[in-house]
Amino acid sequence: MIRLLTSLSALALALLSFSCSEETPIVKATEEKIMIIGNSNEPAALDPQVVTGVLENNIIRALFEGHCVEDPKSDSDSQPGVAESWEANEDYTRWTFHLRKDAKWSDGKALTSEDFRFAHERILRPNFGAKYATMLYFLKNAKEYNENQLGYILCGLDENFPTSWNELKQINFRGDKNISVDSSANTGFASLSQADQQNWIAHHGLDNLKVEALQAIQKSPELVSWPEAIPAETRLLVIQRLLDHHTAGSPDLWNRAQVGVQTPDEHTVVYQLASTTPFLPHLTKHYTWFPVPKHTILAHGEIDQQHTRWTSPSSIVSNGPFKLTEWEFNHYIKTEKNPHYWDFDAVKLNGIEFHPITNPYTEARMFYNDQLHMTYTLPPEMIEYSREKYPDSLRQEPYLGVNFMRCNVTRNALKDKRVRQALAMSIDQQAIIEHLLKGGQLPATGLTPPLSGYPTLDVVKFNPDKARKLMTAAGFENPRDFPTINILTTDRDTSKRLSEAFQDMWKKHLGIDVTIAQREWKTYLDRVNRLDYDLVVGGWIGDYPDPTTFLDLWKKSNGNNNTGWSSKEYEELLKQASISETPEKRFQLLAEAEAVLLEEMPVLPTYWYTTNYLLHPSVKGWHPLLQNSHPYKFVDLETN
Amino acid sequence: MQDSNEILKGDSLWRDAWRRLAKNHMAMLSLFVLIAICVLCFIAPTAFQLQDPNSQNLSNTFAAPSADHLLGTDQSGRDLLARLLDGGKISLLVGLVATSVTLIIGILYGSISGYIGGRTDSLMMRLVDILYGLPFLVLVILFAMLISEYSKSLADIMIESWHWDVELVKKTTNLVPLFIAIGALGWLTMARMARAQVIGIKEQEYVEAARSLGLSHWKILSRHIMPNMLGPIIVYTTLTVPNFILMEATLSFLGLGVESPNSSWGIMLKDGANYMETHPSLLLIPAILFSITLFALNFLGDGLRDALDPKASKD
Amino acid sequence: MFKTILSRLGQGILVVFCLISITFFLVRMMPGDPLTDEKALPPHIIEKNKAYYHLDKPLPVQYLYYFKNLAQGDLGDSMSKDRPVVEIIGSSFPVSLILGISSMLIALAVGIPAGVIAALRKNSFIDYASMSIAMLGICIPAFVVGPLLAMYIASNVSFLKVAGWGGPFDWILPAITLGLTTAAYLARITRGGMLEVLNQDYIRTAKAKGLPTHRIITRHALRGGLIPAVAYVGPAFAALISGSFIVETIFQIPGLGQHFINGATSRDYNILQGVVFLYGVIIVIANLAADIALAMLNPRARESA
Repeated sequence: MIRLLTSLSALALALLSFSCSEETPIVKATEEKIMIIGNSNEPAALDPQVVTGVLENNIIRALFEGHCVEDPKSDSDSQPGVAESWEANEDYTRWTFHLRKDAKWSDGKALTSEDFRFAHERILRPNFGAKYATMLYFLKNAKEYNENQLGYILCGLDENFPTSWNELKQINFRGDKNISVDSSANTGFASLSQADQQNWIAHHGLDNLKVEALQAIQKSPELVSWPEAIPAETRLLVIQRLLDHHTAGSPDLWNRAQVGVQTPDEHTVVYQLASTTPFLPHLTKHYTWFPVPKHTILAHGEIDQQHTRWTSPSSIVSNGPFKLTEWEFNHYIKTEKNPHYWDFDAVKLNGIEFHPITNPYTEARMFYNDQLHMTYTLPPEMIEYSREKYPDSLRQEPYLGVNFMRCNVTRNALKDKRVRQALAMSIDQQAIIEHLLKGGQLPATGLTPPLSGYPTLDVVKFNPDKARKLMTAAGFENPRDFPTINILTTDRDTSKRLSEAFQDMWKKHLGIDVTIAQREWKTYLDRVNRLDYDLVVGGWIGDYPDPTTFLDLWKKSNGNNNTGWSSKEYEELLKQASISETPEKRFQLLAEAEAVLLEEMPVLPTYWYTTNYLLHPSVKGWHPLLQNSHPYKFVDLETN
Repeated sequence: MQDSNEILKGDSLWRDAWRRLAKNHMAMLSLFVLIAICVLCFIAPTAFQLQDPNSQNLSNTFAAPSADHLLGTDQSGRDLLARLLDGGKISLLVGLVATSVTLIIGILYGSISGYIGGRTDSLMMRLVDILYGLPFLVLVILFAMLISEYSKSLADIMIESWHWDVELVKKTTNLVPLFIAIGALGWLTMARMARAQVIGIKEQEYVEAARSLGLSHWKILSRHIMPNMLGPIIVYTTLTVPNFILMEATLSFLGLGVESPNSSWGIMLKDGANYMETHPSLLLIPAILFSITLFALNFLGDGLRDALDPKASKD
Repeated sequence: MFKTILSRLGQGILVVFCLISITFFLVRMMPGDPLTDEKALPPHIIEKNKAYYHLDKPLPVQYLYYFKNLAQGDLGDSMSKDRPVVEIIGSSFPVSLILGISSMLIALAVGIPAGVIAALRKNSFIDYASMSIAMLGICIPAFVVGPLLAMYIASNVSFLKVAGWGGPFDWILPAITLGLTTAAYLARITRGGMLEVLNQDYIRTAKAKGLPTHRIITRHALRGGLIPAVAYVGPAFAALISGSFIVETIFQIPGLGQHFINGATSRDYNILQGVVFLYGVIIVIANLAADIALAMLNPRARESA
């Protein structure tokens, strides 16, 4: 072994002496104007309507383009993409986008409004099962269509139906999951007792019943607890409509659902929105809103078929500044300039390479050794080192996200909001940021990170004295009376260290004992979803630059609430905001809602995210952006 | 070649072995080092009133060695020496207990399989093959899931009905599943080794002689075969101890074992590796103590092997 | 002998079958499922996606589906990456095979000679030195060795990259990292085996007869002394060619090892079953090969192999 090592190092030294002059991969790539990017992991897919992640966004943004494009310098502005211009009506419930006439797919075929409509229909198709379909719920009737709300679409939307939806909606179409059903009912509806049948129907709702159950209701309508206001003949008519739908083979209802997207001509798309949406242009920069090539997708399968191979390098057709040339699984993805891109001359790079580097330390080493133009992230341990050795490369930029700690308010120890407030007040956010995270994060004084135009809340403050008073007020004058609570955390290094810091601070400032349970990622998620925790470290990254992306989480019905907390006042304020006339009034109402949330403190905000990464000085036209969604078409590489 | 009468007098075998071991300077030095490390980890922290290994001081991270902190502080401003010794307790326990579990299950299973031979042997070994192929991480995740339910109730019982000290209960209940997990996953290779040894030994003349004397199978196994396979097994065991200590770190990250903020050498090595470029002492200090311990263990193992092998002593 | 091999192969098929069956149920017992996500999905979306992978069906039905597809050479679609498992294994396994073979070669080339020399010069400086280095190789885990090699060797040698998988030069550092522990084990095991043999009567007889040392070693001692090493190499080789998560992530290698970890953490049942299936086949073959080699080296064990 010694011999091998010595001979190896001798060989190494010998080669070192004449190899210094050779150019590094980055020098070569810079000359060729190929940008090499560390992208953390292999993408789950490259279909804009299938994926859900940030790393996929990095690639899809190069390949596809929506109505608008990110402004390279400003978070609040948008640059024209496929749309040349766009305008809204007075209350921002109707937006019109005018597409440019020279927009083309990478195979040269013209891109029309139909491609947008097709894309929206595809992602919302109930049978397609797109995980991010909720991003299009801003469109009128989109949620109803995606959830296949038969009663609403077949009866409520039909103007000729004898009873209006305002009355019909009292019928239990959607089902009530609080009503329990006999789980052995899989054997068949007919074999159930009448009481069980009633429960079954109430549990599932009329929308989700099969033919057998509907026929049973047709025979004996009393199986359903109908609202008084609905006349008997309407009841039968509703059931008949549902039955007809099923006997016709449950056809897709896109044509009847009146989803709020219209294409009056080849170059115009009009959106009808469910509520006031002043930020729609920002949404169109999200990949879920991107057009997809109807002709290519239909050549590989049906509209509602996932997992077809249309995104393979040999088949994919896209409309962005770059097109896919090579995709080696877990190895690399290569793109080159798209000759059919409408703004071809403005694109400065000749291509982009994405490398799925999962290990952030490896990624940093690759950057230090001139193998990458950009890293995906930078671990806290490497920040100081990079600042010293690569000061031109270190980037620390605000990011649209917040780190917080969820409280399970159903636990006795955390029921009292004063306890939760006390916990929040004894977290020294500044110390955690300065000494532990080191990434220039901001202390989260509220939940929503600073956004232009929104009055950021300044509520959460480090104040151990007041925290102790609150604990006393809550009946825990002696900290020993407070039960030992547990922090649930993941196996990720940062969350472990954060939990240890919280534990130490609460011990020091409040005198209470806290234990830590580390769990692997999905076990952790599973326990959070089942409310099987006391306190849990978590975070949220905004999908679009608007407070609702953070505030909607804490609605009772939101699947991500996971705290057991809900407030009528809070939801009423959010609802008021969604129908307010002006954006200013809207922001004001949202801020009021956030104040309610912060008073109740079901989540303890800890810090607002920043992105920390390394960017080679040869990269030009790369400016801080809140969503870190940089438009590649404005980026350039220059040899210094 | 030894005659069978000699080992029937079991006592003298061990006494001889000890005498031979005492003559081996390297082995005795190693034994001394191991005892010293155990004393340091288990007794010194209380005896010398070292600092609380879990108390953080975020404004004093990565401090250089000083009078306050003899080895400096770590990434959260905790005293490195206190953590090192506190973590040593866990790692030494893991090394000892998990290895014993592995040894007991592995040797028993392997010897029985090898001794009986034939179809039983095939069946038992194919079972080992199957277990060997099961994905490690899946087993650990499942185990952690089961254990978190079980240990919660066990802890409650111990605190409420037996009035045990809460702190002590917490530490024990977390470690038991860890030992079981490592033992359960580690015995497979040991069983294979033991089986191979038994197959080699059971054909030897002295075993045949014992058989013709009418000794029971269990006596033959325990008196004549097992003592003769100890040498290679001891050497192999000393090789697996570092694996177990490192495995503990992986398991702890997945929720089996040491609970944050407590530490162990494995966890310190894993954390320290991330600071390799920036603060190498965080890696080096635990690595040095870890290596010294394992070197000592290894040389002691070699000495034991030689001492237990009467043939070698004739040189 | 031939009959024994045939019967072992038959047992092997049974082993793989049991392995897959147990894995099938174990993976589904883990908390969460492939669709548990940080951003919770609406129930109707979860339903649709589960239906695609037959996860909405009762377990026995899923089990039958799986084996029906397996019989046709289809391991299903990955549930975390949008492509068939067969394709994923097809692209990852060759990489791990290259890495596994080269690290095994390094381990053999370093470990066996070191062990033999140490045994011949027992308790000499060479013995202590090589065994200490071997011990270091065992003590220092791959997550330390890998970055060290990358930091101090790759960054100073132009033809070596700190990470990445392109030409044969990129195989060197990962193969060393991966092979180092195996080499260290081999050295220790070979030394033990050789010591055992060197004390046997037939070697003493050969020595007494005045045969030259190198002949004693090559003709007689190696044959018996390598038995433990050969027994170790079988399973070790199986482990090496099925990839290593740590080495793959440190050197950014598109190998097989990460699927064992990612498959479990992302609850990608199909990919996990796929790699376990492959691993099972490799184990069966490697163990069989090791046993055949052992039988050839050791006539006494032949009948029980």
